[in-house]
Amino acid sequence: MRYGMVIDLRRCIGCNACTIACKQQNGTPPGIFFSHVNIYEAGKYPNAKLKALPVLCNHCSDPACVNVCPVGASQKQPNGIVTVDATKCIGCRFCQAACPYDVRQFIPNNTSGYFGDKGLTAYEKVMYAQLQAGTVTKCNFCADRVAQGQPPACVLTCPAKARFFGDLDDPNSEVSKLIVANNAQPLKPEAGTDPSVFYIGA
Amino acid sequence: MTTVAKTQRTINDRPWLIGLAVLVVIGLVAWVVQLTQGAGVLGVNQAIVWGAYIATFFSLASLASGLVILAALADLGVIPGLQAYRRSLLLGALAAYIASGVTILMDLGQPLRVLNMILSLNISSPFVWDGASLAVSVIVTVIYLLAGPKGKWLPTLAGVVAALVILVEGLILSMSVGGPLWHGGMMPVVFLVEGLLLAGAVLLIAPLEPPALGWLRRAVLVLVPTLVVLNLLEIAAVNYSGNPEAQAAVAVFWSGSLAPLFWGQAVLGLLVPFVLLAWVSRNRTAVILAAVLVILGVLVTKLGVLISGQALTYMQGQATYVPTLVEVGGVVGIVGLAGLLFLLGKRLLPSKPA
Repeated sequence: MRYGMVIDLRRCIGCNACTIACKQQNGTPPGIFFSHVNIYEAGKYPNAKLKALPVLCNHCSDPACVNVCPVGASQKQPNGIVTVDATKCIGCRFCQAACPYDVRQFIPNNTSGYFGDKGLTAYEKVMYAQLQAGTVTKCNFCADRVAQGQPPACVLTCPAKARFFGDLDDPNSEVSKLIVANNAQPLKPEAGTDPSVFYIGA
Repeated sequence: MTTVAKTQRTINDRPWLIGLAVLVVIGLVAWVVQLTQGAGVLGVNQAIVWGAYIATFFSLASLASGLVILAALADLGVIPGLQAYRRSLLLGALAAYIASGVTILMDLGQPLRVLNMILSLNISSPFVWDGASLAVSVIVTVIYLLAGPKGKWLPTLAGVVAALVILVEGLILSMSVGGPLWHGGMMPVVFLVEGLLLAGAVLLIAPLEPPALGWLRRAVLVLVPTLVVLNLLEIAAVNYSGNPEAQAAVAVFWSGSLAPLFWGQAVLGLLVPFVLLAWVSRNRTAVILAAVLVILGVLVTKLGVLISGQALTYMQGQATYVPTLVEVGGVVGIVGLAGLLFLLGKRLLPSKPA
């Protein structure tokens, strides 16, 4: 079992619905993003194009973040998901420095939330209570949803159906078939971390 | 006679003790602010996660190891006239080692969990290797200080273990695939040269005997161009390799936003001190000025390499870093702590080896 994701860039419209769905699902405070969309310009005028590249934790098979964590807070789970144990993390941020994709996030302090002086909403109170200031956090492929047979929030919400989730070890899974049929590629394969997120049309 | 000397020493170093204690209090205040308000009061951010604290940690550990290596070389008869100061060198090394450990503690988001480094350690992490080598070096240095040279094996052991600390710290950056500028085998060697340079420059400021000062001056004169050559080799290798990320990171330091730091340290931290030490070496003020410039140059390089290695994020543009007042206060406190521990060590620890 190795959970992975395929993102079809031919379908992605750069709407950031995945970014927002991720923030709602995980209740991340201001400035903390488990998933985001890079909008960039490709080519040169007059043939320049605006492109979108959604990026999240790549749940690498050989994760640099897990190798460098001095206390074993970052773990590679048997199902392929890379997790952070917030109760073990000492906040040294070595994993952040080591990650080739810059997707890990440090929670610097107890957040004041999205509404400033008006205080935290009921939802923010519940969700922020699960975060520990001074530790590193990141995308976990919505592990709780996945455990209940649900897809990650970003996959469910994508209006262009550009995201696919499944078992990369199963050759008959949708993601495996998409990778083979479209020669999907991971980001920065030269980093040698063997990512589990693949892109079609990169 | 001994009592007179002791009284004189106590009177002489008291202003220093008070001044350094004030610096420590400043550092403590800064740390309390950080602990109560969170790491958000520091200049580090989601992209540049290591800043002034880590640069200070690397510098102090390098200085400490450099001092142990020089003390070992003195005991092995390589450096004339320096053996008489072995106690001061080793006490300085221990003070810098301890201060470097405290710096790491201050940098952690959850400092109370530092024992997890022992209770649930991940042996594959270079941080664990660093902590282990640092702890071993402290123990060996204490034995080396208290027991005396004991022939050639103890100085050799202490020197090798101290060198290992610097090499492992270089590996922390070398083994980070997220930092293309750091990735590769050069960083540990650069760290070693910088450590020896720091220790040599610090000793050039101290009132040592002429033979020792002469040897150290010549050593610094060799180490400065060595560092230049190593850096040029690194820049040439990166530019020849065609790795665009590494090239862009080098460009940040070489010709980008951090260029004033790079060229400032190249001219003021390397070229000017080299000229002063080579041609105005009989002037004590010039030698001290050169040594201070070398120290500042190495510190700026450490911070510059650290920042430019993290500044270019993956497709999210270039991040910036400016140390905050809290961070500066913390570093001031750490420097004060190192000095204070050194002076207290000189007062309290036995002056003759067992």
